[in-house]
Amino acid sequence: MRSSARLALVLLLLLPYLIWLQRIPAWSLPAPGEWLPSLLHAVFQAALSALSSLLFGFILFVAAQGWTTPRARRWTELALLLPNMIPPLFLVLGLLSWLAPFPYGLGAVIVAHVLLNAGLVAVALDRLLHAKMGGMAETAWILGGSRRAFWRRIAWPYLRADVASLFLLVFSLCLTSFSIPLVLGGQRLVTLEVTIFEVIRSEGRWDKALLFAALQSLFLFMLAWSLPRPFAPGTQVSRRHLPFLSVRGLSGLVFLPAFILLVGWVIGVSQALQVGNMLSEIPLFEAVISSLVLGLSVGLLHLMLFLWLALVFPNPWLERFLSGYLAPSPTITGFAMLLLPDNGEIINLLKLTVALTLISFPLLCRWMVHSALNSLRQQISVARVLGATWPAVAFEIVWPQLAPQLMRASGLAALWASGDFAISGIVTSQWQTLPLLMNELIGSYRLEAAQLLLLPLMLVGLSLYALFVGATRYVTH
Amino acid sequence: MSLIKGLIRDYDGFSLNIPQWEIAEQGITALWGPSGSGKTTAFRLLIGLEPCPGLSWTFAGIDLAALPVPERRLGVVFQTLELFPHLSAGENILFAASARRLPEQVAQTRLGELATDLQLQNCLARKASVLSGGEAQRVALARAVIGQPRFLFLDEPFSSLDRELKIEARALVRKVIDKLRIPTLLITHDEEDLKALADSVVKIRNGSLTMHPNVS
Repeated sequence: MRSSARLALVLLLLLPYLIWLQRIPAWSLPAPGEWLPSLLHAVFQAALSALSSLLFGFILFVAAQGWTTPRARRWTELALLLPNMIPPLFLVLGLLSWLAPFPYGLGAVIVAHVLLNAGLVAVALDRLLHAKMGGMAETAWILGGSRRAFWRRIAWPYLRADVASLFLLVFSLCLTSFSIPLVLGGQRLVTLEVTIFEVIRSEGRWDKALLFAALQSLFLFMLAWSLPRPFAPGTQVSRRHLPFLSVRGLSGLVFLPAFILLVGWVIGVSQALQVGNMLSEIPLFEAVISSLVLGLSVGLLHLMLFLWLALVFPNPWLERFLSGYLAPSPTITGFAMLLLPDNGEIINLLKLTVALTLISFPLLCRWMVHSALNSLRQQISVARVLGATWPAVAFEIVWPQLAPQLMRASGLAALWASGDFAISGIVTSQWQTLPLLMNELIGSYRLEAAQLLLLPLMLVGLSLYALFVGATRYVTH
Repeated sequence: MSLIKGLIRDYDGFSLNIPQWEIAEQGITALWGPSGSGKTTAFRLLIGLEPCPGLSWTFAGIDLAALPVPERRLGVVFQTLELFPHLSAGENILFAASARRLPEQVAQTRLGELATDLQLQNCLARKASVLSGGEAQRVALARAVIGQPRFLFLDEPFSSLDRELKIEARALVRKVIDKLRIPTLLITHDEEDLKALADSVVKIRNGSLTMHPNVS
């Protein structure tokens, strides 16, 4: 029973590829010249973005060490993770406000990826260091070791495998990134995802697109499996007071990415307000409702899948799969849903919900759920030895303890889904959400009107997140 | 005697309240108390691992609490030992020597002496991660004392050892501390540690000292 449930979960996650394999009428293998340059270009972009994110993330990590009180730590962590928690459309609009004309292209994509991921790197490094070598850092400090000696002789040799895993995580995020390069990449196909999108849209070569997607997934899968350990930045750790790692004068830098985004939005919204009433002919109310419904359904589906995962955990094979399967290609997932029969508004909503869930579920699993489940491994073993059934383990041991974490992850999925425009644009044009409306406005050079819609979009996203987090207390009983 | 003043700190649901405390500038003083009594908190505040506004610790005419942690020149053996697992035993010990800027030749000489005293000759080249419990414990002690600290802290250093190894380890600790004449604060809940090592005992309960330092 459990093994069937496990297999069903894996098959569900692989659903886009299965749909494609079944639906493509004819196959022809493209020549290397057709796909190799795009692949190399995408790998170059992702490597450069990941490396820059790691370097800037390390600087942010050092800056964050200057904030030592628990309250300050909470705020700095929130500021660092803000770009990562918001939908990419926010980041894109935040950046577009800063420069006119905006320098679209590879540089813009890398800057956006660094802004998006550097904070995540900083928080991950912080948790890694405190969880794995907090005591060692204290010892080196007491013994009189310099900061340089600590990094060079103790931390780097000890953590380099984890840093490699972190690099892979950021690399994979940048390689599979879709919405940012789609808007900011200009004419250059800077990621494989955009190449896949263009191959389907312009050439209608579904087989070639699937080959790209398979190459991309295989590449990431091999990288993930070849690295020694999975990386999970979601773990909460007990922090130690390590002021010797901070550098005086750098502390304020932790707020830089959030500052760039927030000020970008403020500039954009204030410019929009100066232009006057631009929303009169826009179906704002319908778009708000559509975004709310979409976010809610994605959040609920995530919650169901997390519970499903709790029911089939632990299993080494599944865990290995989830640590290697970072996320399916968003484009492939989107077009796979398009290949399914189109049966009206509700079916389209369901297809969109499944597509968005399949994209964010593996990532959220890795970040927020897997390590939390792992921490209960011993308890699960004890419960099983005492004779508890698997459903009893899932609903009496795992759920009561992990409900807040699972609800937060589902809330985040809902927030992301409410801000999606790239996948929604592929799957259906019937479900007109706020981000789709904004994307249309950007496409018709009405950037100010799009900026103005950020406010309702932000409200929708935050309401959804608050709804899931707030519901925690009711669902745990 | 070194004089500690203002070792006071409030946490959620616990307060450490030691307004004044005299610790001998020689021999081994034991801070003894049950779990949750505040031993480790006091030890972490004294070392400087947690901020403690208002703390002063006058030792040999210097206020150690006013100095940055590395400049206090302290040695420490944590309960978890905290060896650097990717370095060899010898590299672990020499890390502390280079951190205190000992000349290479002096460091090597001291390493040789400590290896002899603590019976570490056969494991200096081995990675810390593969050392036995007793060896790891002795390496941690050697690392703590090679830089000739002003003061040595031992936080439940024998808790992970079995009974026989504990007896052997206590004897080695006593021998090295007597030889190097480093004043030491031993944090323990084990009465056997007190009998074997302590020159004086201070009892801590609910965050306050309850016995006069000279009562042993």
